Amino acid sequence: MGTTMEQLREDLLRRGVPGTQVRRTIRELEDHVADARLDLESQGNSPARARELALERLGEAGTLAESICGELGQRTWPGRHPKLSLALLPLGIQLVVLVLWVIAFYALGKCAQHLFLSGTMDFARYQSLLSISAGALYLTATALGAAFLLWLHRRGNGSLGWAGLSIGLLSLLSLICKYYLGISPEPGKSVLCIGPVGNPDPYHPGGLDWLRFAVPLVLMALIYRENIAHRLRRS
Amino acid sequence: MNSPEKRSAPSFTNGVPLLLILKLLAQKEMYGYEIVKSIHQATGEALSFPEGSIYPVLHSMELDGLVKNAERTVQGRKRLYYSLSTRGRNKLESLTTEWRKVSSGVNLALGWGA
Repeated sequence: MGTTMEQLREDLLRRGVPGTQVRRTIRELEDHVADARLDLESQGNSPARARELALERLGEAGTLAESICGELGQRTWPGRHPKLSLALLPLGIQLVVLVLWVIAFYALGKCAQHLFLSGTMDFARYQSLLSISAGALYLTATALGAAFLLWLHRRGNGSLGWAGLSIGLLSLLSLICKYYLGISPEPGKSVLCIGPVGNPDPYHPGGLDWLRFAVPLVLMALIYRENIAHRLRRS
Repeated sequence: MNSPEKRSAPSFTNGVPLLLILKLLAQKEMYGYEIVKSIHQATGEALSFPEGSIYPVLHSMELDGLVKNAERTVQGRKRLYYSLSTRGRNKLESLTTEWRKVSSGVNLALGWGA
């Protein structure tokens, strides 16, 4: 049983099936074989024959891995259309990230503006609050977008390759899409200023931009750590 | 043993395993091996499939909210029992209706009467 289960475990991890899912499946299959062996032994088979028959009835490791990945792969749209989702999902998620960021910043900026205008906060603190929150909110929105993308991939086909390409594209978009957000401190002027930074000068990514680039990749490394470690061991 | 869920072009017999599992779990909660044994018994060993392939179907059904699982220790062994959710019961009803329609249609076509 050890070899079949080990083969299956290796196969599933290689294909990018989440470690928790792999452990659960292997545990259930081992229990299944143990139950089948007991049944077959009670029917008069020798322990060795019962073990052989139980494994035979369970199915080959390759067929089972195929069936597990096939079942997962059909579950979600990215699983059924990996190529299309590779291009469309990161773009869509990046768009949602920007919209979420603007909404969150607007709400926070309006509160800060109110505090500044009422005299509770001085201009320097108001400016630094806006600047820090703009970065932090963009980073959070990017992390949420990446987490959603990874969740979709894990729920779907779990393919490590497609998830890697997809998250890589999202990282790149996060690095490229750098915008300036600001809220006027003047009373009555609550217009949200939004525009690309660096224009007309060439865009030079700063520390925060690289952090935004790194966040999706780090999240992926954390979530797929068992699969990545397995790949590294094999190579 | 593939479930018919989320398929763009479901095959004619794709719903059979799902229907059988839902029907069995509607009677009582079961663990994987028990489900396989019950399928063999209920169908008179008419269906042949790699027994391990039941688990991806169960996991898929769980993700779709059709079944729930609970770990129980029975006679010193921990087992994962599956039971039907409300959504699963509704699905069973709709699949049963669909299956009756299909089987009566096939029977009619084969000249066996509905």
